[in-house]
Amino acid sequence: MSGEQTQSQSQASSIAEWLKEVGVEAEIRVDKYNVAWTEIPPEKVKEAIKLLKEKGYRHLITISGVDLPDEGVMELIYHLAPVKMDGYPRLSLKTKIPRDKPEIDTITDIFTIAIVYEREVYDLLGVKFIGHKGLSRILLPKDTPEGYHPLRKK
Amino acid sequence: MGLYIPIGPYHPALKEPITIRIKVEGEKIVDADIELGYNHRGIEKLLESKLWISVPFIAEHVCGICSGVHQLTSIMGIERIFDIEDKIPERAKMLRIVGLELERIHSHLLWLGVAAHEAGFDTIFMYSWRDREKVLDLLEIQGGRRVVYSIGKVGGVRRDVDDKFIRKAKETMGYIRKQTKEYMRIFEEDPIVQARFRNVSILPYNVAIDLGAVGPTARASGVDYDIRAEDKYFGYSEEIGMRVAVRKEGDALAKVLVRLDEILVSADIIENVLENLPSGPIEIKVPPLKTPSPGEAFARSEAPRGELAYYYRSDGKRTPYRVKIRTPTLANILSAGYMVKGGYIADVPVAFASIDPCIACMERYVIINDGKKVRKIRWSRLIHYANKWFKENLHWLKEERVY
Repeated sequence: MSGEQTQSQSQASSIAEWLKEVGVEAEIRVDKYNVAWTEIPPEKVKEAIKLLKEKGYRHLITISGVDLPDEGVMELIYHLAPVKMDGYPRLSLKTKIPRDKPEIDTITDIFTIAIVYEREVYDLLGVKFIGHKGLSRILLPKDTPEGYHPLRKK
Repeated sequence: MGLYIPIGPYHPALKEPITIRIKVEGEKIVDADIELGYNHRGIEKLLESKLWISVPFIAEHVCGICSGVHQLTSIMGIERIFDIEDKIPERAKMLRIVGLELERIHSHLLWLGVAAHEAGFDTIFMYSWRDREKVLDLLEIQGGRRVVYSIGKVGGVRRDVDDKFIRKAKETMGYIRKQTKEYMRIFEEDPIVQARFRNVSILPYNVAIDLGAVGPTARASGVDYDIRAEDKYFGYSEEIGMRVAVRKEGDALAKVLVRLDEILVSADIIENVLENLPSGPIEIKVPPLKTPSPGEAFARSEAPRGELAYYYRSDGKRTPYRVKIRTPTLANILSAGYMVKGGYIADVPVAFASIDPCIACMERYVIINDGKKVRKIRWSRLIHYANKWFKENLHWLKEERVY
């Protein structure tokens, strides 16, 4: 077990090395279920995901959003999975955007499937993805009042 | 200049409630637009008000067909939040695998029937649903109900199995294997099936990767990716007979054959697991009001339709702060749109059925009717139209399609 732990730690440090290429000093924590967690600033997310895709994180599992009104932020978590890379952990890339102006660059030009995931986050949490063509409600009816997003906490 | 035809939504219970708006020029489809939101029930929000240990029993109601995998994946996430995953007894893990694989078999058999029915081949529909009943009987013994069977709970499984169940399961697996091989032969040889499924709604390898397709939909296009083999959760491994079923063609026929092959794999796994079932306890006790420390967890698994993911956030209270569910149909929906394009209107039922859509899974919300009038084609009428059209046009189609 300890051997596995050190192995995933070394993979984690190589991910940290990659992220330095886009100018991010990220601290990566690997939990014992082989999921790596890290947090990067929102303006670097697009670059970082592009780089990670080139390195082998070719599968975007989903995008989760969490509303944290006490901190005044919304957290977005990009869940990425490696494809055919032995021993690399799944990566949950977190970023925090201000709650009063929830905006972030789209990643639909990197992962096409992000079209639906970003629409879902927009629909339920009201995060605006800049550059997303056709950002509209996906699950709620089209005539839902503007500004109503059910998974917001307040 | 094209004509737009909206198909659906029809009925929430049987054929999936979804609108596919296709743009046609003559018989050819040039564009397709998929509209969702008819069956979203707000389960993610509901889960935020439930105790941690009761979350799985709501989560399994996300989907009626693959309820077991929803329940057990949500349990996997909660056990990670509680940090008890490595304490789960071996016997419990193996019984979870038995439940999951029985569910995969019944889901694939159900889908096989639906796909054959969409192509007008109702004999297969009757046969495969008859075989599915035998699997449901086993699930009833294991869980207590035919559907929504609550096999697991946080800390283990609810019920143990006895020798009678093991004997009956092995017998049924032999029968299922025999029947599945027969269906494979029919789908590979029957000329009518070939005409409706072969080279229809092709999803090429690079498009499947690009559109993020998951599960059998991706594996029928040559994408060798199965979460059971990637993550090895609950103890899936080659030793218990796990192998990834892949085909390269990417058409509707390949999607049928991949799923039939997966039934054979599941039957192997069930037999192997029941042969070497470890003895011991089936659960560890978890206090009902247990409060985890603040943190987060991520769990994913291979549902019958593809990759299913749960994300949990805890703020140290008795209930979750946030639960996020990503179901396989949502990941496959762009692929469905792609596969419809370029085909004939008459291929729409087969093309759309080939991703095995589960709209109830994908959405989770209350239906609100806004009263607007839209012209609709009922799914049953479309199938009727498709069958009639194929009867009339098969002679020249045969020349156009490569066999």
